[in-house]
Amino acid sequence: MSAADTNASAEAPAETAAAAEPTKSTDQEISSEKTEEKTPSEPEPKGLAGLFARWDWREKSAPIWLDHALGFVLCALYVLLLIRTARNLGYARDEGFYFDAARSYARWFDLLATNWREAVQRSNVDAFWTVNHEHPALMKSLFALSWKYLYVKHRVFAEAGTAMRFPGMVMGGLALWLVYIMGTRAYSRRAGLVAALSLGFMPRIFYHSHLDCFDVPVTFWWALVVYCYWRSIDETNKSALLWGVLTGVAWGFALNVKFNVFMLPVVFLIHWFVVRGRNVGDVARKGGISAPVAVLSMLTIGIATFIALWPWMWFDFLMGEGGRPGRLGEYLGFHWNHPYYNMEFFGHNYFRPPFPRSYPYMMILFTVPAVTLVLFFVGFASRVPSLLRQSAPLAWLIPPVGPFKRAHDFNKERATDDPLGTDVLFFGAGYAILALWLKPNTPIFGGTKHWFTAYPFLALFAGAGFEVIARQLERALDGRVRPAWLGWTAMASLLLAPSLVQTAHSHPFGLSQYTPLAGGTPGAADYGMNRQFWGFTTGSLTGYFNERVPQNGAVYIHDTAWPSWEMMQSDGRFRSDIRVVWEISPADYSIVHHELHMMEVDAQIWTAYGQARLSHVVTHDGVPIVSVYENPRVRNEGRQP
Amino acid sequence: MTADNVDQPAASKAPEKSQGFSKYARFAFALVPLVALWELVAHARIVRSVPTEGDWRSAHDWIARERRPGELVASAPLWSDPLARWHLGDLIPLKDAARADATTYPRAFVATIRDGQHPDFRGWSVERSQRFGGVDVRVLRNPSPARPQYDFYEHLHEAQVFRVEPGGPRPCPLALGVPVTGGGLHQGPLAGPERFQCGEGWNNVSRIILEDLGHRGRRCIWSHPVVDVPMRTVFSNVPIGDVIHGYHGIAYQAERGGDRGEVGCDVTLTVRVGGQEIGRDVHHDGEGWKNFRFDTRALRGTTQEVVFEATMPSARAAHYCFTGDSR
Repeated sequence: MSAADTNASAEAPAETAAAAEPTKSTDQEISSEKTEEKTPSEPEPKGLAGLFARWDWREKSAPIWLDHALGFVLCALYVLLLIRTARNLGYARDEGFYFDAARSYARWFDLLATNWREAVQRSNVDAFWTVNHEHPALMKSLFALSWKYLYVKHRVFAEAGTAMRFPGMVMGGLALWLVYIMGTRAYSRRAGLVAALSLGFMPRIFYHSHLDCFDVPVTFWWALVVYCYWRSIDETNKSALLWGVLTGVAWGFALNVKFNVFMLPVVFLIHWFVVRGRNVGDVARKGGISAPVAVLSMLTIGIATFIALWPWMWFDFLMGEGGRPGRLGEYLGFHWNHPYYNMEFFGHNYFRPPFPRSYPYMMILFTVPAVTLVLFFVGFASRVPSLLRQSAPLAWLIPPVGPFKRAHDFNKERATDDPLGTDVLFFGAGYAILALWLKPNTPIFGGTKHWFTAYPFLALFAGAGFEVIARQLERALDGRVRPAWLGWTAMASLLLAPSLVQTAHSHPFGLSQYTPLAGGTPGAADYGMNRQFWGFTTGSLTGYFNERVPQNGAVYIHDTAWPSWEMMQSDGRFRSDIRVVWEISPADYSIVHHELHMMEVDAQIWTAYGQARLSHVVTHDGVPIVSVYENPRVRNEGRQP
Repeated sequence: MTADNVDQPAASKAPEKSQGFSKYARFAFALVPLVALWELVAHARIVRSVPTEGDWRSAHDWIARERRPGELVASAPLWSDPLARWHLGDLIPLKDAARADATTYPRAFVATIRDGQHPDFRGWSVERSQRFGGVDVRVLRNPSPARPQYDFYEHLHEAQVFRVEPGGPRPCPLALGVPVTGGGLHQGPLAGPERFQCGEGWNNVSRIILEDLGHRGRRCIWSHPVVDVPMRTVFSNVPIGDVIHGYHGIAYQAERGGDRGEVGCDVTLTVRVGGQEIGRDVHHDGEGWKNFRFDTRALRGTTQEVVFEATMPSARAAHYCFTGDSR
């Protein structure tokens, strides 16, 4: 490590020089426009006016407090929107399990507050933390605290379920804030803004951002760890070491959200090897090892943070009694040997390997708004030259002889090189998770959510794409539109409109949503794509059930988990007298959540009720989402709600 | 912290002869907003093209007026089936919804959306069609409708059922009005309320609805055999036509196997007419809802005893059923 630091420090002045001239080489036209607007002899305005004078949407910049204020506003508005749209979104299966876990953990926090010595005893840890110990603790702990303080104690939220969901929503908002800052720092403020909004208004992200689950939170934490690492390898930054330490801390938190962040140190090492290949090689020649401080921090502070934040791991971490595998092994084993669930894809119900390698790409194509994808491709294409330059140190591996000499010389540093390898990092951190599906036994049952960690980076490249478009627009307008920001804001509004419209329209059927590239939800039904999972669309039956189910009547709720139903009922969404039964015949109404393989339940209901007639169907754009059967007994007996 | 700039001033370096192209290339960025506009318009068109409840209601009323007894009401594409059973539900009895095939219907009224197709009507001619907004009702004519003389499913309660044990056939008594219990994913088909109970709960012969390998509901006769102990179902006084025509299959969950590669097993269906074997067909995993046809022309016009016997060689989840008719 010391060798690496020494080498890095030795190079720092050259890199600093490059950093000090961030945009001259390729931004000359934009720069000249700026100088026309403000001559050097003009005094710099002071106060708020001065602040806005320094505010440039078009250049990349180290964020100032105003950027964070804007990021906060984005975050707050997004969270507010999520809260306002939460009530008609039914609780998903997994949410129900986490409700149960959170209540248990809340009781442990109570004990911790009153008698911490007792709380940390193994017997108490096991008593409260055994529930759902196959998933880490951080988010469920936040769900617990939010429920306890924002619902039970202070009634900030009218629904316990929304209070449980709130921390997940905040993570969704923070992801937008972070992406805005990353975009600002990497490309430009307006690129960051478009990136953040593109992320927030991917319909699937919007759906999952509502949930008390882990997929959107881990997206935020993943991006945050990447951000910390990115800052930590900037040796011109006096706080680089601090960022390195923070990378470890953030990774420890991230590990406590979902297991897939385990792969991040590998991503960083590959990035380091690619963009710092010269150092790596030089140090290796001297017998040393070059590695980023951040990774060392992850492997020490990160692991320690992981354990510290998850009481379940405080005991038998590596090995249990009698030499049996410890809790870490049990945890990893659970996910490594996770059963395969069903997932429909192009008319086929996949339930065991091999799964199609094209799955993530087709799903991205069909669920991310087309304009966001086009912006991504524009942005990515515009960054290819930078990607190549940032990967130039790899050319060090090519022997400088004969016909290879020219290729080897590509390794030589140029003043305009980005020593942080920003584009390589964004590409690697984005693609890393998608690479898992190169293995055909990687499960696909999670739909798009399992690669959400790629989306902040997809959005960032889309932001870069917007920057390209905006600059082209400004050239074409040639100053004919005043104020100058009117042109690009109008363009941004147009380019974000499809995402906004589709996201609004998809609610509360976020998992049924497909973009016009797939023909929308009906087109996807034609193709035979999955319409939902987790049974959350029971939440769309509140009006029907509350009106139709007889007093003390019973319903069979198919794929909805009991704790999810229980929460909908305790939140007042369903009448409290409606009973749930887990058999079809005794139920007054039985439902089927439409997934391809769930025809089995339709067939059971046909046998039990002696008819195939439906009394109601919940649809999205005309596509069946939930079918409702009325037991003929209800009509025969004339029972009333 | 630096990163290369976003824009690439390639146009300024372009050779002179490409100036004409560059003149237009500077407007290439406009293609991206065109994508946005296309996406907005396409989204609006998709949403607007969804059939309304009024469309379905009009289609229902028209079909109810035009349809004659014995004609089928269905919908296309297949995924629209729940919509048809909702909006046209009173016109679709269970025997039509869970049909083995459509060969016996002379005509079908197919409520079609999105210009969809239904596999049951391949080769049928379009007699006419009537559009109601987003719902196009196509009246399809079967070029050669079959005329079944005896439906084994309908007459199951008149049959006798035996579990053919090594010591000899053991009759399975018929129980009526048995509660239909259970329900839920991975539980397989539920036994109907009329059952010939042969042993354990699952070891019965009854009328069920099965989810086949193609995810369609099929009404059929549950006949899960025991290893080397055939399940025998005997129908008496069956009018014999040209063929015994039918299908057999295994419930989706059992036929597809487990997610760790578990497999099912073959089930053999043997059919005897008047004491003579007229055919047998082996159902292998993966064959789905499988058609069989056994020639009975030699006995045409007679009334015979027809025996179906299901056998399997090894202990696996053979959630098996068959159905058929004499035609």
